[in-house]
Amino acid sequence: VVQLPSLAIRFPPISSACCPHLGWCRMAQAGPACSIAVIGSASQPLYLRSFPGALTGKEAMDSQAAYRIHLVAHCALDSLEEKVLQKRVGEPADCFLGLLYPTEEHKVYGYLTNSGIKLLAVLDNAVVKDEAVRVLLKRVHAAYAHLASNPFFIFGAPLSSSKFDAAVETAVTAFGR
Amino acid sequence: PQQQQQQQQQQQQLQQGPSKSTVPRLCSEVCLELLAGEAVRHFSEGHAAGSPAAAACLDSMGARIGRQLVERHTRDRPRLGDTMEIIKYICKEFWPFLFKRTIDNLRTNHRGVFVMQDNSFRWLQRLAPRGPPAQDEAMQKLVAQQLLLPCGILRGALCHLGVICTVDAESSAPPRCSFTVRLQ
Repeated sequence: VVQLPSLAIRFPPISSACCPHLGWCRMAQAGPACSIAVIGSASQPLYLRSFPGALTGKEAMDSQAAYRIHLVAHCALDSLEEKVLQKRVGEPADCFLGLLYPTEEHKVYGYLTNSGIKLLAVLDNAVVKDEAVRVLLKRVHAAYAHLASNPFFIFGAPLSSSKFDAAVETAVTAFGR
Repeated sequence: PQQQQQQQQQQQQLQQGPSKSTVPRLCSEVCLELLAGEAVRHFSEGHAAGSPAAAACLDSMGARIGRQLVERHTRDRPRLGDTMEIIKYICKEFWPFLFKRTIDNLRTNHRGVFVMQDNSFRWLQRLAPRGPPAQDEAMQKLVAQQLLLPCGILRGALCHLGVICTVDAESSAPPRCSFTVRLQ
């Protein structure tokens, strides 16, 4: 396992307690490989889950790839903040921020809620419509809002709820179709 | 057509988020008022009435409620910008969501203090004064305690939207009351 010390600045060391879902989901889905990350208002990671696509399959299932996605999500936070500052001028601000930045292997889309929660969708380089990603992130937001209404929910703690997992899975499957 | 219907239902479910049924469950408003009153009574009897501990309990309870309500209510709204927009959102949209009326008067000294006045605060409407309200001390204490929960809700909502502040309330002639928001 390669140590990535720069991640410790913003993200705590990756452990199963911090991100119980850091890993590959066993179900393959048609469409692009997709990772969903939920970042809290203090830039702490709350949830990170990856769904391999139809094209990647079993060869891509290694823990290195999971760390790579984590790094990509971390770097995307900077461009998310830049994009938020850019959008201040002019038209009413939307929660969905669109494509943040494309790298060689991934495309990252961002979504910022009113309460400072950031949602990131890391997709591989298949052709996707912005509208479909917007719908996907809106659904993840709806699932998060539903989870936050739980009286036992702790704001700022990593998300661990089977209903939330199921909702994210449904949203990603619908996105893949 | 059956498949289409199923797909439509699925779409609806996805949009509304996970829930057991699509019909919202309603509750009579008097239950909420009784619950608020009972919460005040419970916390003031557990600790000495009027002590800071009782106030802190009610305030933290309200803060949590405020955070969760704001999380749900801002879900479909476009992003709010600076502090003034957030305060306007609280006055014009969040207040009707909670109390079914807008804030009647908003004043600011442009140095971080906002005063929101509600001429007929819903949760104070059921309190019956025994004499002229200004002279009735027990009444004043009760009103002050009843306002702790709404203050907490307001503070939780504002802090969750990014406006760190303290909120006080005072009511010289219930049910008219004013909430003072002081930015930190």
